[in-house]
Amino acid sequence: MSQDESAEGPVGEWLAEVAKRSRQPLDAVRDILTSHGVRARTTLPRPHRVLVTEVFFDGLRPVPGAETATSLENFSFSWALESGVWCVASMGKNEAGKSSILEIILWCLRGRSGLQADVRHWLRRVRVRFTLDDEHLGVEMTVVNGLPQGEVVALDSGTVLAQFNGLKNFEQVMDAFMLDRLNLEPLRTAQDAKKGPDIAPITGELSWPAYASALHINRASLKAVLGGGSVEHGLPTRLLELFLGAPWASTKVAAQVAHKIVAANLTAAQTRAANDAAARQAQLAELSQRLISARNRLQALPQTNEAAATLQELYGALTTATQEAAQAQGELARARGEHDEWERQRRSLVVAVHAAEEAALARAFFHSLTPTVCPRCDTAVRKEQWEREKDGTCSLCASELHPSHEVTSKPQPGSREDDPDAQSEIDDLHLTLASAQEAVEEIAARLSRAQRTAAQAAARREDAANRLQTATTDPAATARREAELEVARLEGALAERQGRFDDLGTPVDVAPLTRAAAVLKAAEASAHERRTAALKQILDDINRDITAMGRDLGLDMLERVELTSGAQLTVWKGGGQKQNNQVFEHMA
Amino acid sequence: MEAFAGRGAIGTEPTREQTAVRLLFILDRLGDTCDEGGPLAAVRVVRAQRKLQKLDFLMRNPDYLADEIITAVEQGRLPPERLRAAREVLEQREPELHTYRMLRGQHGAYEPLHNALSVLRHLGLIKIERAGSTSDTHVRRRDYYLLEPGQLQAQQLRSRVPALAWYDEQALYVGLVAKGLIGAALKASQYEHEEYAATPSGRVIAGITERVRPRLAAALEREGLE
Repeated sequence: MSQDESAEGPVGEWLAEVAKRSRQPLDAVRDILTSHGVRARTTLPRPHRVLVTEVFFDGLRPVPGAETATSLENFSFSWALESGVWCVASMGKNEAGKSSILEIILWCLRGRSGLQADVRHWLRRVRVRFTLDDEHLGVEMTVVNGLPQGEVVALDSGTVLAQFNGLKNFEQVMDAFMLDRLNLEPLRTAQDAKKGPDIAPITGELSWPAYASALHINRASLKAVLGGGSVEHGLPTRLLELFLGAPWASTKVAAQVAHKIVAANLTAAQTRAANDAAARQAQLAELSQRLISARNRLQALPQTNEAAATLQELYGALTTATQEAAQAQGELARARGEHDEWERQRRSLVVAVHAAEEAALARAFFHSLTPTVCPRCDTAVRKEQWEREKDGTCSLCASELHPSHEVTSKPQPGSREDDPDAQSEIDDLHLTLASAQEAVEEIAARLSRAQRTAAQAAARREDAANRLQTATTDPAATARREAELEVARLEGALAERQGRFDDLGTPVDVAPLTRAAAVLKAAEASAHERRTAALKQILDDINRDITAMGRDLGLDMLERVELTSGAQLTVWKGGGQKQNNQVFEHMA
Repeated sequence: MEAFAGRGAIGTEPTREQTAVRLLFILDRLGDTCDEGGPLAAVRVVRAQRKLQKLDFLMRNPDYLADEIITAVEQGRLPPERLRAAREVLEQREPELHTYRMLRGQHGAYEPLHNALSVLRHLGLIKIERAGSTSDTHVRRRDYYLLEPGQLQAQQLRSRVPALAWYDEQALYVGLVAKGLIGAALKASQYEHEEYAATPSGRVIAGITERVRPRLAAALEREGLE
């Protein structure tokens, strides 16, 4: 087969027509057809010729009429054919094996056995030779228990072209071999699935045995002239197109198959989109219903002091109170430290004042006494010496006496009024102590305030903590908070879904599928018209040939026949109309 | 606060007269009776300066004194009730106002007493005499005698100057643990304190109040005393 994909000539016209019919740009048409494997096939395949030249087989079969099944006899058949029309007939008895001879020939040519099982089990050796165009070929095999094992041989060179073993394998080997030799492609088919329009069609490929069904006509296949007894998959039409040579036929089938697939996908996508929308609506409805229920539940709950809305405030209050309490504690610690330091100083001053007073008292006491001896040598102080002290001179060493040591006025024991320096120091110390005392009292007041503040802050913090604790553990508040959270959650879910599905408001994008379906449908229709136009001319010729052939074979009453492009044959005979099978039964 | 800096609560050195007051009461209350020998009009005597120094140490350091009383009770030298005296010394008699830490000398607590003794001697209240062989320069002892005028003035002091009478009373507490002991024994007992023994020469001997307080509490509880 050849193909013409150029934009010129019949192909270009076809593409333009498809574009016009589908209302799609030409480029889009090309892309869609290419992506779906639809190609314009305007020329006819070259005819091939198959001629059987020899058939041979032998084997063992039960003796006819024998009482036991173990009684066997050999049989053998050999027939060399030449060009011409041949007839196989039997004399005096039926069931002599006429059909078996034809079935054995067919078995070897197409790989698929139509033999009766018992006959196949009788066979031992089988050989069929034939020419395919100009090539001499042979199929030779041995049969064991009905199962073939053998090879396809090129007779001129003796080359083994293919080998097979078993029924299925033989069929596969002959399928590949013959399609290759005849340059045929598997027949593409598509059939609507029975479950519905959105289910992908059953597509398939019919291979060599389907083609080979056109090689013979038997009684069983009379119902349909072509197609091996099966009208499924439009096979008779395809075979008719093939063997009569209809251009555009394969293009039409390819477009048809692709269109069915795309249409199914499109329907499925539309169904899915519809289902999605329905599911989405159902989900939104369910969420809305749950939200209403949750709101109603919340409405029914008693109001509490600590609603969930204020929980945040309580956390905030606790945080603030905690910070304030910490601050107050810090202030308290500082005040206490300062207070303690002042108090330590005050105590020091108390000690100093005490020591100074004690020293002054001791000094005054001893000063009130009269010296009697020298402290160094115990020599008695004489009266004249003592008298010197009245003049301010030491009675012992003649040094000038400090005013406090003057004896003009002897102080009383327990008094310290005689020592102005000491008294001045003590007065200073007292003043300092008074200041310290004042400072301590001041800081003590601050400390007291700080203590109160800290205690209040601690109480506020505890109160805030208790309120929060209550808010988080109180059953009524907990129930209300949970209800509020449920409402909030559902509101969020609803909003989120509505927002998300807004983008999906339109169904899934089926535009590409729609475009492809339109293009493929148009391609199928255009190819179909071209194929039918071409086929009509051929069929008219064939109808005349069939009528002439029928009359030649003695059907004098035959007026005319009409073989349709759907492989249906209608016969007009003696003014009446008859079904094709009856006519052909006669012809057969 | 800076204005008061440098005035420690404890550690201010006592004046000459303050020391003279303590020594007068130590001689009056803790001196041995002077039955025979000694100078004319002598009524009491403390033999050896070492003993005088050690007694003064106990007078000036109430925490050490309280500790000595506790030890004496624990050793059976004093009845358990005396623990109350230890508590009075340590806690109730304003020890912080009367504590004067001493420096560590070569032979233990030591502070020159000459000037204070001169005050007493000059006024004819005491007499100091050398004892032992005068040719023996290595072992030379001084004995401190309280004379009758001294005894009289001690009496005057305790009755007329209540503020100073504290030392008179404190001498009685010291007497609980020190009466009859010689200086060497007193020194030995003081050396048992790590704080005392470990203080380098010329440095202040630190107090032990914080250590004695729990010891006293434990002893009181052990003896069932309130």
